[in-house]
Amino acid sequence: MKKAFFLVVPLLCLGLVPLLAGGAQEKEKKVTLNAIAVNDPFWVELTKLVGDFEAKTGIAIKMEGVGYDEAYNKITLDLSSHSGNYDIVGVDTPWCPEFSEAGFLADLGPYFQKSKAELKPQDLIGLGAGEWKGVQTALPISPYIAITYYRRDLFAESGLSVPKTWEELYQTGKKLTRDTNGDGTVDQWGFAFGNAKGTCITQFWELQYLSSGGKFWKNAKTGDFTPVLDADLARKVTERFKRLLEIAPKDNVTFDWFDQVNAFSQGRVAMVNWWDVFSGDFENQEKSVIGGKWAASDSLSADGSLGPWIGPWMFAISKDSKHQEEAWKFMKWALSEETQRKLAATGATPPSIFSVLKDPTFQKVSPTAEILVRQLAKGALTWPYVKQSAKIEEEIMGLRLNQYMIGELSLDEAMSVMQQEVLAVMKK
Amino acid sequence: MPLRRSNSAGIGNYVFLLPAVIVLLAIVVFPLLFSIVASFFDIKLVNLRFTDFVGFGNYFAAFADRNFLVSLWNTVVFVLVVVSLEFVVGMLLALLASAPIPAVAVLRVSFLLPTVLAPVVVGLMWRYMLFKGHGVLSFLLAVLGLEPETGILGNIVLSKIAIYLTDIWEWSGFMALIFVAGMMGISTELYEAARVDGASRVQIFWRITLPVLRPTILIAVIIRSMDSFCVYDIIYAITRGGPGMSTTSVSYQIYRTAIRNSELGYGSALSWIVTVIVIIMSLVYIRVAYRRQEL
Repeated sequence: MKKAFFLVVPLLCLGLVPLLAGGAQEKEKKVTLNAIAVNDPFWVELTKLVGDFEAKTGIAIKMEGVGYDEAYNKITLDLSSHSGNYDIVGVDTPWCPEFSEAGFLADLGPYFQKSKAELKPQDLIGLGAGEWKGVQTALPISPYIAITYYRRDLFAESGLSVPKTWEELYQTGKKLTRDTNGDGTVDQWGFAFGNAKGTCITQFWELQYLSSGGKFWKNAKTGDFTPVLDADLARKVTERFKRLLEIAPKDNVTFDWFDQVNAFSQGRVAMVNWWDVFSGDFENQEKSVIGGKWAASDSLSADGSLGPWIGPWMFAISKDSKHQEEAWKFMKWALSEETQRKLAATGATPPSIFSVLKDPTFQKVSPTAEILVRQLAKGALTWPYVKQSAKIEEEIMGLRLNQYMIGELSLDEAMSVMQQEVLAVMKK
Repeated sequence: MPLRRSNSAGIGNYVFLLPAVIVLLAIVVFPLLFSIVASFFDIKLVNLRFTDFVGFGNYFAAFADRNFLVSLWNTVVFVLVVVSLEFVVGMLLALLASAPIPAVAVLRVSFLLPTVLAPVVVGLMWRYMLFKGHGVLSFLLAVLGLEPETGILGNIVLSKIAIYLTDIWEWSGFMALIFVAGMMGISTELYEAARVDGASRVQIFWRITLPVLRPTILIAVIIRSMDSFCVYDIIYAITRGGPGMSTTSVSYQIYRTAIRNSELGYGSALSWIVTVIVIIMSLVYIRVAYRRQEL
């Protein structure tokens, strides 16, 4: 009897431990979402705001910000392995068709339908970029819209007017490329732009080509996705693209997205034409020496008549996420008017909500909102992306354009190789 | 009565080996088999299905792929340059570290420091030193009036040289370590006899040190050749293969193809081509070295 007692009691105790522990765990059970995106200004600022989301919902979120290539690699590996490690993924516009076609992203349609009172589709800038074959797989969290930043002080003292076309940019840039301290070497340049191998140089070229009336495909509307990169206009734009090196710092051939912005914020160049996501950085004294000396203007185009190029960063939910409902709550919070206003107030991105962008109270505090509204009224320029877009931008055009810029390929070689390679990818 | 090993004890031993075998199977054998099979399929990272069998199509395509061929050529030149220079620098360092000088142990450890650093850290460190306008090397070249306007990393030739120098800086100490170990094994009697016969230092080096070290040199050169043929980290950290294709190595190109470009099947075929090249290269080294030894 005694023996049985000494056996049974410890066993009962051992049995109770997991039960008690389980109860405690149940009490503390809290969903933690994992999100990943490129470490651009919008993501950095959004990360600072997520405490607000956690307090409101009781859902924890881990925000991981990485470089552009790393973001693509990590997201692709996670989605293709169906591990579901990431619940929310930041998707660049050209990646969306590839991930959507592969079936990696959750259909946001049903969620979106239920939340129409809070998220009005007609009010979201760049919503179409997150749609693939009629299914909404991503929503724009930061509507990257092209704009021209220029040094107000330099333009005022030289009496030059702000360029509206690419040709005017070149002519004005030549006048602003000069030796300012009289030591015989040029220390101020007119313009800086991205030239780094890969998606970076492609995007800067695309901005110029698209805003010059260029088209990528023969007839995307009828489904004819034959590339027309050997067209006369593409050649002319590419030549002009290289000519801009004459008004750029000599190391511009290595510049990536951030290098060209740094060149502007460090006072080396008078103009940059890129996404409106750096206003906050220009006013940050730790990063910039041009606080209060810059202004913005319409993004450049061939004749000044075309609207801006837009290429939003979007949020999508992994199809393998075990917390899709919670992930949707996060997306709703991130796209809420309150969060968008807070985010846009940092200067890290314009708001994704058009009514906020148009709001006069917001326009009063934003140095670029009025310009963006005026520009968007002309109609936004976008690419008809295909599922091969990420590869075309990164591997084909990103390499051949860079080779042309550094003199490894002639213009003829670069354009014809690009055309052949894109054609081959599309046929495959 | 003779002691007999029981069967159960034998099985017990195998059970203890099981975890190691499972780990090896999972991280070595499975990826190898997977990549062999994948190389015969048009398999994408975003669509991991073995449905499109292409036979040797991926292998044939490699020899018409100008990016792969350029990267292969870049890698061959890289291996020839860096292994030769690492051999020379490593030998000089080894001679220095074997000399009867004070604090020789400190000297030997200092040679090894670059080798124990993670290659990515080495790459990033050199990248910062090479940055136009901010980097130490960039500044020094600018002071001497030798820096190109585009910066070192924007110049096709200088960016290659920068990669070579980084690798030589990192791995010469490793060569030196192997050579020092070899030199310590050479009998001092040989040197004493040579000195008695009136041999000069140079003669001793050419007639004794170098011939006796030949097997050691062979091992060091094979290890470094195989390793440098797979150079990836420093290229990723410093140039990302640019400008253009100028510093793209074959490993970097395979990474771009298989991961960034999602062409897993084709990337696997490229990996196997490189594996075969490295094996052939090593066999040639061994054959040449032993033939010389026989002569």
